[in-house]
Amino acid sequence: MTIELIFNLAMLIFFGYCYFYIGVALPKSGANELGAEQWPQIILALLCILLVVNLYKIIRDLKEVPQEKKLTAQSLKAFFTSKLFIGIILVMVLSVLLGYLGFIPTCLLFLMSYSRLLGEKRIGRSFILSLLITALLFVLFYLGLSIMLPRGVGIFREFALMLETALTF
Amino acid sequence: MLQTLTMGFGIVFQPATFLFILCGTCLGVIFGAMPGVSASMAVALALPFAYSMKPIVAIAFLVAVYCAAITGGGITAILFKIPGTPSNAPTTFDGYPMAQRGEAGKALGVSLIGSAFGGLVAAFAMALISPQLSAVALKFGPSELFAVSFLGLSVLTCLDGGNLVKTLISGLIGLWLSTIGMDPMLGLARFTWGNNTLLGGVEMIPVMIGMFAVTEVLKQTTNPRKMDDTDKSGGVKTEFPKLKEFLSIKWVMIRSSILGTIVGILPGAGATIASFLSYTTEKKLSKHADDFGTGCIDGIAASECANNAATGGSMVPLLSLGIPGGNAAAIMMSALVMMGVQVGPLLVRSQPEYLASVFSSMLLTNVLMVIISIFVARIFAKILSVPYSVLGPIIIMLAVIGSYALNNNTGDVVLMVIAGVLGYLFTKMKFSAAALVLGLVLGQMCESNLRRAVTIANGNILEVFSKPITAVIMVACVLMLVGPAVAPLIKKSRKQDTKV
Repeated sequence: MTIELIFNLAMLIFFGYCYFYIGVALPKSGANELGAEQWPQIILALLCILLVVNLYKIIRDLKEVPQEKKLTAQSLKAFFTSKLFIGIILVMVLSVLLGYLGFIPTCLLFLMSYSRLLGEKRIGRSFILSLLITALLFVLFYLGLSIMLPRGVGIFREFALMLETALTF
Repeated sequence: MLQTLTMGFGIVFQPATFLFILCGTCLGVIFGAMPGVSASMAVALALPFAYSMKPIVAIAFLVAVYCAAITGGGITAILFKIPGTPSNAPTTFDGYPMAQRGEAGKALGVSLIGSAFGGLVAAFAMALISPQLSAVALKFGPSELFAVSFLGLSVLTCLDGGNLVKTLISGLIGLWLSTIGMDPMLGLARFTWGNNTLLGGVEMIPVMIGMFAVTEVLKQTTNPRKMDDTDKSGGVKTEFPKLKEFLSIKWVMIRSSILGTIVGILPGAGATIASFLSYTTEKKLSKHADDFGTGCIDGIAASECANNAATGGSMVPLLSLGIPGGNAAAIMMSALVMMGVQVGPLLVRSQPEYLASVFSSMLLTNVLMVIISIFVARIFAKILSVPYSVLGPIIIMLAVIGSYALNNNTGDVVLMVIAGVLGYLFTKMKFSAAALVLGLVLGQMCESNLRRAVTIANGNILEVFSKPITAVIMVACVLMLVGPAVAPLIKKSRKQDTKV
């Protein structure tokens, strides 16, 4: 509930800022048109009103929340060591690394690490499976459907180009 | 009509043409089932094959790919909660819960029957009343198109009736997201904060994939659940609905097919809007609205009938006026133009074999795709028997490829991941991911048409809403918006009356 309160409050501040930002950032529109800033302002005004209503509801219900459901240092610590948090970090790292390492190394690393997170303990089996799946996805999408996959930069780009050339001919 | 049918069958049942349609259907179902390969992308991928064909055969082949791709998208929507094409997103709402409780086969069966039904209704509508439908569609100016898109938004209130405020907040966030980037009228940058990547706007597909697929994997990471419908060989048996079940959804299918055809005809609308609109309308009309979203066959039928019907609908303005109703129709039109065919209002009159070819190809494809989809679904369903420690990461990698393939841009992958994490937070806090996606889908259409209408009316808002078609649709919107708030009050007063 406390997290929900913070989340809603953060949204209210952000969207409130956006409302004023768009009014200042764009030129004022004429009287005979609906300007570029007016449509987002209508949306943001409604959004802020509804967020205030929602915040009121949250604060009203906050008193009835049992002690065990309240945000404590212990529950925060538990979250930061949970599978969910590690999963989120892994997915975020994947999205960042993709541009630098390219598809093949990132896919291989991600498949291995996420399957480990989901309980796969045999590293050898996990490596072989990840390698096979990476190869299958690459062949299916790059060769089969001619869909470009990220190549990465530097040495990883050269590796991807070499592989693509070798497989195309 | 009979003449068109005879002429069309004469074309499509020639051995070579039949083989091309069969191949096109196979390709379409497989492409559609691949996350990130939208129906229009499937048509574009099939285009090189069409260059070597005669124009009449080529259009029949491309229509087969298009129709089958929309159907194929339902397979992964049901099995993995990854909508193969954006128009299959509403199928995940009920298809995936059914798959989770061991009814994947039944969900697939309803999806296939719904798709075929919607496709066939649209094909007949196209052949019978193509010119008339086009004439009606031409009466839809910006104000009418705004009213249609607002109608889509007004059904937000019934996506999750239990959390009305949160559903509306989610829908408005979606609408706000659609305003990021270049303004559709003047090209002014909005909410980009000087970042060039944001100029292109927030892409719908990565948000959709993130909110549905990545969120689901994150949920399964903390609380894994098993699917029970796999047979000993590790597949899912597609089960067609029994006669009683089929009859129970007959009106859902008829209404959704008609709605899908109409929305498909409207320029700029298309299969995605059709399926969302149909899903929410059926939820509104249903006697058991609470079952929607928990694994209800009505929801799958509504979504799949409408998106397939929209494919037929989008062919109507193409054939009768030479105006493509959507992206896929535009690709088909460009293929025909490259082959030297003059697409325009005279095409149907001077060369009726084109209408006949499209009509018959749609009929044939809608039958063939049911058979082909059963086999494709079995292959895809084999993946379900794979342990989740392997399947979960594969789903995320498919989501990554699906997002990247859109613009060959890793920024879309980052967007997809952010959407996935936000989607998880949304689910935990009981906001509605579906409402956010709906807002994002309809946002730009809503804004650009309203602004255009206001400019045409010289700033007079009253004039915009006083046009007959607009006024009728807007009244329907108000009823839909106010309905959920007023209905309990009416019930209460009736109860009090009976007590007295």
